[in-house]
Amino acid sequence: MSSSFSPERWAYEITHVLNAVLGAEHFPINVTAVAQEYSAHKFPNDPIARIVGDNLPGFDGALYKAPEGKKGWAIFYNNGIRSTGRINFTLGHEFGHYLLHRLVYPDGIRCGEQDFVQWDSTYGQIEHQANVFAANLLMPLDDFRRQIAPSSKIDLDLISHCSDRYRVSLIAATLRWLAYTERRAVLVVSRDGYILWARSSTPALKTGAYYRTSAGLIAIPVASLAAQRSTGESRATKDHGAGVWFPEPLTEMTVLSEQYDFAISLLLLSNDPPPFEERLRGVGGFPSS
Amino acid sequence: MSTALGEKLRRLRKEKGYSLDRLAELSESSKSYIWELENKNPPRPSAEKLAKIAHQLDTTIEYLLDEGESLSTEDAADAKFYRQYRQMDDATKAKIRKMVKLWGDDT
Repeated sequence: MSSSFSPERWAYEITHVLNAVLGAEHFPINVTAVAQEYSAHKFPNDPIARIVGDNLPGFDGALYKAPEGKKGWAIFYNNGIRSTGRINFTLGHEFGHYLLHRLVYPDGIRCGEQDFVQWDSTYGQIEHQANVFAANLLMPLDDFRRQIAPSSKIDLDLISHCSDRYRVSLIAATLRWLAYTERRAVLVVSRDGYILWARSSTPALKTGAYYRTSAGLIAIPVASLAAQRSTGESRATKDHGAGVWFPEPLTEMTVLSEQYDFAISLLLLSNDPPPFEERLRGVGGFPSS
Repeated sequence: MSTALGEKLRRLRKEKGYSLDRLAELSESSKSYIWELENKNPPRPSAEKLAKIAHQLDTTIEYLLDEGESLSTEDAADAKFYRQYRQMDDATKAKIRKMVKLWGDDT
């Protein structure tokens, strides 16, 4: 029964249709067209009838039930933000709510502005599901892996290539890569000297390279690029010795985003982690301390 | 997550041109405390500390803690589930209502 499809399954179904109709090279995905055409075909009595953007400060997007006398749903979204990647993700997210949740929330669903950044926080299952759907729809795993192999080293140009290809933000593309890479890597998003949130790849997590922001405030290292004051957009790469970010050397790639007023740092660690005893003796101590 | 309080603090601090360090010094608070007020969601911010911060930012504790107009029944009918308790300003709300209305008026 399609109403009980998982977010991944829905995204896969649509990717399959897009591959058949448009061929494998169909990126970036035009969510507006896909959501309207797919829903009209699949649920002709309950489609997404319109998708309308306007300058709506303080608002990302919402799924609205049609008013009396009309059928279906509408997605309203804020097109007053500069990031087309974020708009695209918002539309994917609302499309996800439509497919996954409209029967449970017959009056619609409205989404706030900061949520996109809060990918993995405790917002609740339905938000997470809508994000998983959007990520899978916009960045299908098989295609992403063709851009960056699981064992490949990475740099900002490669991530930028993916964020351009799928028209998503740098953070969305990085999170997608972190989920499958075999490299040890940690994404750190910080503001004013402290970590807002962080995410490790599985190999990094398993070898002790992670930050637990739920355990208390974590300041970013003074020597890091992320701690540099700068105006405007900037991106840079720097090699650090042991004890700056973690008790082992690593490469930091940081993008300072004026738009959102935070620093996005991708920390790339060696795939041969130092033995546990050495990590214990490390000058920097444990990351969570 | 950041809250209405956090966003107001941050905006007012930036308008004053204060760094976190500077505001902490002026309000006899700590840098990390103000950062948490701005970026996290401390359950019960200290009224005493908040009053000192408000004073330095030329505002009031009432303004900082005011969550805006309470949720009207009209809003509640619009959308039952909120991803985040974040108040949209009235102009945005009005615009969205108009978008819904235009849809209803279309023939």
